[in-house]
Amino acid sequence: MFDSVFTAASYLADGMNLLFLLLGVVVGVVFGIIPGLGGATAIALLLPLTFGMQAEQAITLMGGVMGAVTIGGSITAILLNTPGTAPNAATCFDGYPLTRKGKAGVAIGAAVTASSVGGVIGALILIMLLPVAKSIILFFGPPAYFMLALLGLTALTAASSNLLRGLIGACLGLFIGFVGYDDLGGVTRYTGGIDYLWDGLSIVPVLIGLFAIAEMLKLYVDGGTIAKSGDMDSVGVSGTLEGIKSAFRHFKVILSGSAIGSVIGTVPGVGGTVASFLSYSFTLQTSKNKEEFGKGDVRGVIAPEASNNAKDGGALIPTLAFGIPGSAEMALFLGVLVLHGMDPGPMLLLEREFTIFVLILALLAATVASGIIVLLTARYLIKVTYIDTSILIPSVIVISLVGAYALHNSIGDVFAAAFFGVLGYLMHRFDYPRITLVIALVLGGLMERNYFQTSLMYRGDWSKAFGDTPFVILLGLVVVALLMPMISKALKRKTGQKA
Amino acid sequence: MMVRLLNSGLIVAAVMVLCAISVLIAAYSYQGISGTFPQLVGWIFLGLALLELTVQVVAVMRPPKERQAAVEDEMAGVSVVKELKAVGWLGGLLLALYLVGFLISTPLYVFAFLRFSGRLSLPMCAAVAAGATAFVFVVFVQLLEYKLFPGVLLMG
Repeated sequence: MFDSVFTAASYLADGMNLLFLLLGVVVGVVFGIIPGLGGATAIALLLPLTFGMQAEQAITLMGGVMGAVTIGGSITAILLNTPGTAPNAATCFDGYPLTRKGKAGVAIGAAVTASSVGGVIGALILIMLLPVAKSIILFFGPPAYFMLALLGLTALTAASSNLLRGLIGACLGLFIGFVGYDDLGGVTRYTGGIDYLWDGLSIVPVLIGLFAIAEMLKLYVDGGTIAKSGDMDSVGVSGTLEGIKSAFRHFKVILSGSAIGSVIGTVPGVGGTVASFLSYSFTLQTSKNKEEFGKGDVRGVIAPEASNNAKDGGALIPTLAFGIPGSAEMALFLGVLVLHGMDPGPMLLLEREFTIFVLILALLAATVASGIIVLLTARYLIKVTYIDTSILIPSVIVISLVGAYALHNSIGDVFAAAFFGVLGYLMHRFDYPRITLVIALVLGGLMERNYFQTSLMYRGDWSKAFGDTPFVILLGLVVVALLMPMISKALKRKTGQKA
Repeated sequence: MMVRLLNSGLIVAAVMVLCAISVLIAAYSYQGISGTFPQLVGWIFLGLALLELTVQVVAVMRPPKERQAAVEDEMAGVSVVKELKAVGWLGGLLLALYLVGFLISTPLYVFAFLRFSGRLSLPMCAAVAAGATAFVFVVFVQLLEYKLFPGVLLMG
């Protein structure tokens, strides 16, 4: 293992690879700062640029984005009270009050330090847990794999805003995945006589459409500048060194936040937002003097920031070990792996240790590099959010469509990206979660293959699958995931009645 | 009454039911194992879509005051004209791409969008259009060496 770590480190230190890492970091910071865009859009937009790269270079670029995006998002949360990405929402509670007290620099210094240290801890936890994941996956047969894919799907759906619509979105995603030639049965399905669809829909134009183009349509309809509140001219960033020191003074908060982030990250669908809120409330509950929380307590910035960057390490475990992405960002990252000829799942972990360590080290380096970049340029970066969206929209749409075309030199992919852009916008408009569609699309093939193999194994008698322990455990977890929204609703109602 | 009939959730749920029925019928046309899994998913899809439709019908039949207000707010908050314009701009770009390819339609589209939709000054529109085209040319054509689609009118 250590050989792989050293080889990966020397690979990353190479000039060209370092450049890709820095490019990813810069793009990640900028997309993190712009509210509503985030890591998924950044990865969707950068994906086509990786076609000609080596797999490890593409992974380095994406590692840079993933490691940097939440650090960028903390800047708008602190300075404008507008979280750049959803996991930064909890940072607003104390970050913005600190800005109003004239301590924006302290908040940014603390946030960046906590986020960077949290990211490093998350990556180290990932390194420690990977060998454990390796041994676990060897116990998994087709029935357990089918159930695991179903768990990934249901856990994400249950975490979405509307369970029923999330499940409908998942069904749509599965059917989109069925389009094209079926290797198992040797027939074409759902092509509607269109030749272009014979090879199935490529994941890249679908993702570009659902994330990059749909977001631009949303921005067009919303209009104006991206940041709707705050005053750019009144933003002053000083005292960052004091912020860095205060983060280290509250190192216990960083440790607890990172631990919460790493654990929550491993659960598909729960993600960074829950991790950061949980970390915030844990710090609040366990602190002796709670009076300052919500009024500008630096611990209220450190706790969520440490957890939301640490969660990336945890989230990579199901993505790499089982091919089950836990978030939109991870689904897109899975798309990058597939595009570069890698098959996420047990074999990836067993056969491509070097590639995995390139990713982990890229994540690690990105969290530190993005921290430094943000500390040096925060006051200038914030101006990005005041750009008129009409400048951003046409350029991003054109680049997205060129990217969609570049994969197979197919104009059909351009039309597919545009179609999924409109579909993505409509899903947002009518409150149907896009993420469940994407996850279903990614997991559809895995589910169908393992469903078929299980049916063959048990000659169609699925009751025999109950003799398979991992299958039963995972089935139990699927049921819990589906019941969770109802249980939490009932609990909330009960708490409300008591109050 | 019009607001009730135009409840977007109801329309979308009805579209989902139709979608589920279509894919389920198609699933039964595939022989052997190719149809098994789509049939299973199709029935689940239909069940869920019908459930959503029921939820929406119940909501429309007996709208509480707050729901009525929410529906009206939703209608007022989103400009359908603006949405159609957004799709129109995208459609226009697709048509231009198909006819004259990426390298001609990129500056035309960016310039036209900024001028007529963004209402920016001529020099600004020209600068951003030139910047976007230069980015596409340098990154995709020069660095990554892709042959961008020339458009059906300029092919050959």
